[in-house]
Amino acid sequence: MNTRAVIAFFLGSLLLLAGCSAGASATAGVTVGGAWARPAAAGDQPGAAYLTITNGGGQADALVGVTSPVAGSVEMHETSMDSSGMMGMHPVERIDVPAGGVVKLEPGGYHLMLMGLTRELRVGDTVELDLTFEHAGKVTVTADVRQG
Amino acid sequence: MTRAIRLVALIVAGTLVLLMGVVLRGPAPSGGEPAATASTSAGSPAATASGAPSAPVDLAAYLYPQARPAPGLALLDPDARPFSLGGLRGQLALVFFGYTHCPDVCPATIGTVGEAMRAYGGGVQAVFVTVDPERDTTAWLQQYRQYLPAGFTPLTGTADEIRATADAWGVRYARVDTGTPGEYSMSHTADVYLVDQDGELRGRFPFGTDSATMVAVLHAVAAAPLASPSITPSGPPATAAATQPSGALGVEIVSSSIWAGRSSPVILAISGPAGRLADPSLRPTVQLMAADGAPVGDPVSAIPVQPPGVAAVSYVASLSVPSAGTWRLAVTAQSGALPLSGTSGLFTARDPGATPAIGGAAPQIHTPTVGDVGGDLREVTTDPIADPRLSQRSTTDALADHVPFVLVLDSTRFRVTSACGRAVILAKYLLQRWPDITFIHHEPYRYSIVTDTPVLEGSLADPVLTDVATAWGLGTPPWDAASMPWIFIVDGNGTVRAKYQGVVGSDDVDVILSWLAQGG
Repeated sequence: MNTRAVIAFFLGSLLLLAGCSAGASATAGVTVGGAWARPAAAGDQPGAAYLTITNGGGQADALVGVTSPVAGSVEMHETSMDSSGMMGMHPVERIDVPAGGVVKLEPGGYHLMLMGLTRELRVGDTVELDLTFEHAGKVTVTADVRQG
Repeated sequence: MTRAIRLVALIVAGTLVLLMGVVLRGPAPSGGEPAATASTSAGSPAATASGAPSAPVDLAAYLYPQARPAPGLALLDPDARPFSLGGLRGQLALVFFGYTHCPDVCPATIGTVGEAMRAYGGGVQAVFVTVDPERDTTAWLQQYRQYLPAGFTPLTGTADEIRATADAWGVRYARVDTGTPGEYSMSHTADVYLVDQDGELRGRFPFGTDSATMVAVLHAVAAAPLASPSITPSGPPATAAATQPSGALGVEIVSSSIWAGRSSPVILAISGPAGRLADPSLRPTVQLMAADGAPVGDPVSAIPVQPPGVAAVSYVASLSVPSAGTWRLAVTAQSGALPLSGTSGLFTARDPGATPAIGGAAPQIHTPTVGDVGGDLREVTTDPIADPRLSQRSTTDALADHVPFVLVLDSTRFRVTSACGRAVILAKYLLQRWPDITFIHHEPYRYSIVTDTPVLEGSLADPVLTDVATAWGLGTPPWDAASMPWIFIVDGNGTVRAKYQGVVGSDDVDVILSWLAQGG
């Protein structure tokens, strides 16, 4: 199979993805996948969760809030490098997902901070994340706890 | 609904895996200088780690031009026992700084380092030094240890000990309060340092370096221990408070790319008996020498440079290096009444190939701006969090207006090396520091947007360069299409003043821009 054929296959899968999500009107074209969280101790050590948001619809949307039964609060953060080369995090109010766009929350970029964990997150556990989108409304996903 | 999402996710994931498989099986492009590359051919331990690069690893991007004894780590392990790096002699060590309440960057580094250690297979230890001694007490580290892979030692100490240790390693960190009383995070540099079997600090991996690259570099260092210790005794890292014997200078070469040819700017961190020289009126004399110590050409005067808001003073020497290969520098300076002199370790001058010469004219070719493509940023950048300022003006605009510019040839999406995407990140931060300088990002590969997704022309193993990338001399040996990223710095006269290939330190470009700003 040559690379072009693979790319076509890949694009086909993306179209399939768009098609499926279009059928789920509750999410108005937004689908969330690949959710996972890092292991973390309960208490004051924050956890981190990552996922991929695909907006198959024709309207821009944004992730505006997240909650989880295992965390006192969930913040959206972005990791970035400052002018002196230091890596740091800052909270963001929203994560925009353009129409037809894909936004990945991944290590070293956007991530969800699980503050005030009510229980330890161990490899093999699952964590529920309740996401609120500006237009698509609520989407619930299950994140697997793993090392990376 | 959830089941449907999972099914689709599986299909996409499967397709991605298939796609990656095809890319990885493609012919490995040759990149970098043959003398400084180690091929990670299939079957080697490097290629079996996840995220194996399809391109050879450019060792010069990770190894320092000169080795130096690693600074100390006189701190406590979780059992409150004193730790000594000397105890690891005979093994390689990966040393990095972070904190346990760090949810994103540090676990990513721990994961990558752990993966590299497993793939390498024994003989490597990892040391995780906290920059948050307030919360990372030995008692807490005893509990935290269970979250670390085998072979990791977390270290802590008093706030003063941690600060002194970080300074000696050139690590910067700062506490950032979150607004909630008692809550804070730490910002910190996130490089992973490589110490060899003999306790020599040999190189550094920037944050985001993949495990396969680390493994390839570990193999290269294990296979080539230094024949003799570095020529400058205890040449300190950039911010070290180490001192030199009376009358001797420690000379460290900071520049990440040094080129054969005329006027290559070389950044030096120079230390005297009282620590790193910080005299902004000092003009050290720099003499190029062949590897055997024979002087070559005339000595030049190095210019002191202190970027805005930076405490350290760097010295920039414009060197004319006759040919690619290994060289060293002799430096003399008059500090107070004392004449001081010292010699650097060996460094490598790289072959510029067909890239524009330093001191030569920048190519007159138009980089497409967001205005040229009707405002759709995706046509000119694959960065999902693009800064439009990087696509506002073209190189031809800057040349016509006689303003300095920094051209970044890099791709966030089409990563042919592990360094790809990092030059764009660097540019996004430098443009806030340097508002009067035009920063321009150009995607070096041809691609088109198909159903909202950038699709590469050709393949990752054999991408097609844009006319702009070709005009800047890429795609010609030794710098083939897979040699990204590149950064070119051009002054207000349209003259190329510096260029970088591969991993670039933010300090490096910062010093060069300061040097140009003060008329260098």
